[in-house]
Amino acid sequence: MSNNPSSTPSHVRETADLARLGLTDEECARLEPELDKILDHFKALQELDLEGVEGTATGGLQDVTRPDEPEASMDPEPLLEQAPRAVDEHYQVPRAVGGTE
Amino acid sequence: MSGPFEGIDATGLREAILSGERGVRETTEACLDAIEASNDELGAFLTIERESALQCAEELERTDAEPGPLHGIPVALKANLCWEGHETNCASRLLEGWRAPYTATCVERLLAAGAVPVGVTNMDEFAMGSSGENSAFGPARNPWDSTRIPGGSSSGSAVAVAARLVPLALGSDTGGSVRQPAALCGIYGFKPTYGRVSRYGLVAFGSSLDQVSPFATSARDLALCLSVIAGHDPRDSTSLKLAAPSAGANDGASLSGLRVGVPKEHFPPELEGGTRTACEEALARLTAQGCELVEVSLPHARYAIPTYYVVATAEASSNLARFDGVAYGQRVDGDGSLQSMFAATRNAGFGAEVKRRILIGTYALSAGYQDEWYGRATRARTLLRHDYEEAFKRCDVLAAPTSPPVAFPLGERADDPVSMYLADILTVSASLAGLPAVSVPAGFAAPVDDPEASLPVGLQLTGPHSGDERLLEVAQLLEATGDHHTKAPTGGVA
Amino acid sequence: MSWTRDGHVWISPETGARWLPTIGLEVHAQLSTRTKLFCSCEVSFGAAPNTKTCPVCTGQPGALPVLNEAVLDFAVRAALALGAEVAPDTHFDRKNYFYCDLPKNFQTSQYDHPFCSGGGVKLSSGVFIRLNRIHMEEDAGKTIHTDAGSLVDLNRTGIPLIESVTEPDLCSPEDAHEYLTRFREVLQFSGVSRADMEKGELRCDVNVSVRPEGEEGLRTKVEVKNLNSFRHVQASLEHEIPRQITAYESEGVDAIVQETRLYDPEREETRAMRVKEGESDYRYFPCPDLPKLHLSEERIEAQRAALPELPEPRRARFQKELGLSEYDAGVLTGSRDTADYFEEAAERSADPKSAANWVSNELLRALGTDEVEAGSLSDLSLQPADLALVIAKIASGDLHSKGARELVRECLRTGAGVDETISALGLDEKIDDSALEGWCREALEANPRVIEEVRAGKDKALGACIGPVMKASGGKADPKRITEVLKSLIEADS
Repeated sequence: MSNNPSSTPSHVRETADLARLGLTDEECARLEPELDKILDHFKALQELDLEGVEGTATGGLQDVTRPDEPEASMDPEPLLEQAPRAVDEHYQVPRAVGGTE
Repeated sequence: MSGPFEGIDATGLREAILSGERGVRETTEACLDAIEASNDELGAFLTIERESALQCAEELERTDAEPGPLHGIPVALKANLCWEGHETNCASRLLEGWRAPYTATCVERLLAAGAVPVGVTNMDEFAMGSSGENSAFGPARNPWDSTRIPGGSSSGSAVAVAARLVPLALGSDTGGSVRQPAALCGIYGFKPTYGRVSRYGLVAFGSSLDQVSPFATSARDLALCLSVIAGHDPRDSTSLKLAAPSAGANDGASLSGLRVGVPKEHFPPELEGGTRTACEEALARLTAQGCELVEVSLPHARYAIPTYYVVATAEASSNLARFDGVAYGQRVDGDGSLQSMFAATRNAGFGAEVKRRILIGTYALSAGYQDEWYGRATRARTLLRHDYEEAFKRCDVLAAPTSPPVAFPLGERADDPVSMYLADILTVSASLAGLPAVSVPAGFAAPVDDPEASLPVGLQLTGPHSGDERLLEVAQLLEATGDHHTKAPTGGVA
Repeated sequence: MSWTRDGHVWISPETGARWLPTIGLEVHAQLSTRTKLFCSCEVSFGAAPNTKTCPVCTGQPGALPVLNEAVLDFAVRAALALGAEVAPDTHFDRKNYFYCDLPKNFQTSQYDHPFCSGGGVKLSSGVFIRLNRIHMEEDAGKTIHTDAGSLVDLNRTGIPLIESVTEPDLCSPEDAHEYLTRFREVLQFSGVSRADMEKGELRCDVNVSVRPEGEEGLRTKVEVKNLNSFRHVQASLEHEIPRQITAYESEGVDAIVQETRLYDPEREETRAMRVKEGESDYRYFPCPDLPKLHLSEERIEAQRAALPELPEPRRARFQKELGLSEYDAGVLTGSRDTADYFEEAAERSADPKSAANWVSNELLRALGTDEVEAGSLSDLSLQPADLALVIAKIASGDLHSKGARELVRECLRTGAGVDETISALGLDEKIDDSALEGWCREALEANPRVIEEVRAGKDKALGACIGPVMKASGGKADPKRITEVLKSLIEADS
């Protein structure tokens, strides 16, 4: 199976669940060696001496803001129309267990 | 036979329209007809918007308003650019049937300039891929040889322009997704400095890397397109406060004395022989024009692929989390609970490559692994940026091949994701550094699998940050020294 | 079973053992900006579902966030008001998790670089409740759970919040209540949040653990949610603390597991949520769509200057400078609105004591009834200038106090001005002196005993005549004046 300690069978399943990918067992089994190979290839990153090096954040811009001026919101119609299921001007989903927060 | 825009670029077409030589409506119709005739074979378009295109053309003919810089020019839009009322499905089953409720800034600007969007082009699903084979609706095919890949992820837009079906198309480039297909299809593809063109309305893949990027059959058209779509957008916080550059060529501009840096790491041993030769010839043309070739080094080049893939997939894993079947897209019910609906929707809706990348990205951000993966990658990115800063102290532009292989056969690498990723080696670094880069047609070469064949090769020029105008000027000056860009594919189109 | 308390200690009726609770509070407050955190939709309450949304706050593909400048100002002001130190550099992070009220399936929040640190609130006992952190984040939507599924309204998504977390410094349900009261009034007085719990502008979750008195370290904490009022916060603790103690006493030291419980206000108890789905690996990483922020000295000083007097210092000043009692100062600083109204009236009338009486006894009272539609003093038709006018007229004798009360109530009822209402009620009708004398004589003639008693020194006896004279005058005569006239008549005849 995998010699790479970074990606053990449970990790693919766990990672997939975190990402709500709903992978079947067969898919997990198939993806696992693929991911191992990919991560193995990427482990070159571990070699780098990054002492004192800051991460690059986005762009290089700073302090981008807009004034607190209201603009008209969108008509709900075009958005609700595209919803897989809309009921009473709400987006309807299968019953949720109260929050994952 | 090639499409209706063989021999004429957007700039020339506009002149012909304004002079009365061509009508807007007739141009649009010819364009639509050619697209329809070719689409079964080439698969460039996911939707052909005949009705709206003709309506747009008719309005342009009627209007008294001053003709815009793209007056009457048919354009194709990659399927990840929101266009209100039109299906913007990112070549994914998950968004099949989804009509964008608003329009991307770059598309608004094209429309305001008088362009006529004719359809939505094929792509790798959610921009993840370098061959065009990851589309949920079948791949686009290289018009030079329809058994071969056109490159990706902006495959359909590249094909549409290369086949001369449209003179101009928009794609998006995150790690090479416009430059690489441009090279493989023998046309121009340009990725602006990060932040030069608004990302508002571009369905996000790698937020700190994505840029809307045009395809064209001439360098001056790239400048024309940039002049229309670039410029600050208050709706995009990463948008640079730089005005759009003007399209006009500078009189008296020349290549003489231009220092062209040649990064040795971008001419690696595994570079295909034909590609190397074509690029070296292009460099020779530059020297002949008075350029000075300077050998430079990008010492951290070998880390570019892991850096890119970890950063891009991490951002993507977060950006694609919204595709959950709640407010838009194709929902698949699970076992009756909300979370299982998410999982069922995403499992059914996403293709294999998307799942792969979401997994890598999620992993790279997950507890216990984030420092090691995402943390290191963002820091490695800084080193890669510095490599370029150092190099640009000794040269004005960098030149290297765009893609190690020329177009390979469809299916050849479909089962080998790593080899696909590695092929991006020459394009990802400019994305990581946020620099402008353009792929120009440099010649032709035989692929390793068929010594008789002749396929396009692209040379990539990279400029310093915000040096988009000068970069495109260099591309135009280089164009004047050769004619590779004028060659259009002859096979593959009815 | 009845529990007894000894200060903060809870004494088990079963075993007599002494237990100490440790409480921390997590409070979310909506900032009262006009627009949302990352888009220009109006912040509103009670709007029709999904009518205050846009592509950004509904997480449409391709939409991007742009930070509301006022949020930074309000956040900095809140930090200053709470005595926290503002961080010079800060940024937003993505908190990734999946839920139906979170359109992007990540919440833009702050993780390791919140905009401030430290600060806290002092209770009346002198104990200082320290803040562990405060950070900015966007609000999620609202979900209504029905039998046919859950319904999502996204109006609330994107509203700017500050989340504050205390250290576990609270020791009793009463202290928790007091903390919330004081915390809320600081936010209200500083103008950063209206903090109305009924409108969801302030939300609180509780973390509570118990341990035997004298035991080192803290035991497992339990989170309690669904607390819709300060009373519920207190009540939930009054239930949860003994619940935990009882569990420990009957099941041993592992009786309590870390969990989230919901408060049920009907039954006044906490109950376990059904199994929580999902993990808490939020994979925080800096949001690539939002550039870093620098909170400058200028901004901090501007907010310091804009910070109005906070509740405690204001109460102290009302007592010291305006001569109010502690009780009255408390009533008149019950809200920023009340304090501002009172202070303006006090200043304009130059009579703080009268202003205090009128505001407390008449105006605040009226707010609590059906007599007026206003929700706060600033919404009343009678404003401080009007009140000052009334007080002046009483002082000059143009109005007597009973008539003034009538006047004020009528003004509130009709919304008409002071002078207008005086005329309308006939309060300006001067009572003819001779008519008044006549009525007084009649009253005395009808009550000869009064004359005797007054002559005997019992002035209070005059009271019996005041009523009839008032009646005769149609309620318009000034009781004080009546008393004067009666007395002078009695004296004159003696």
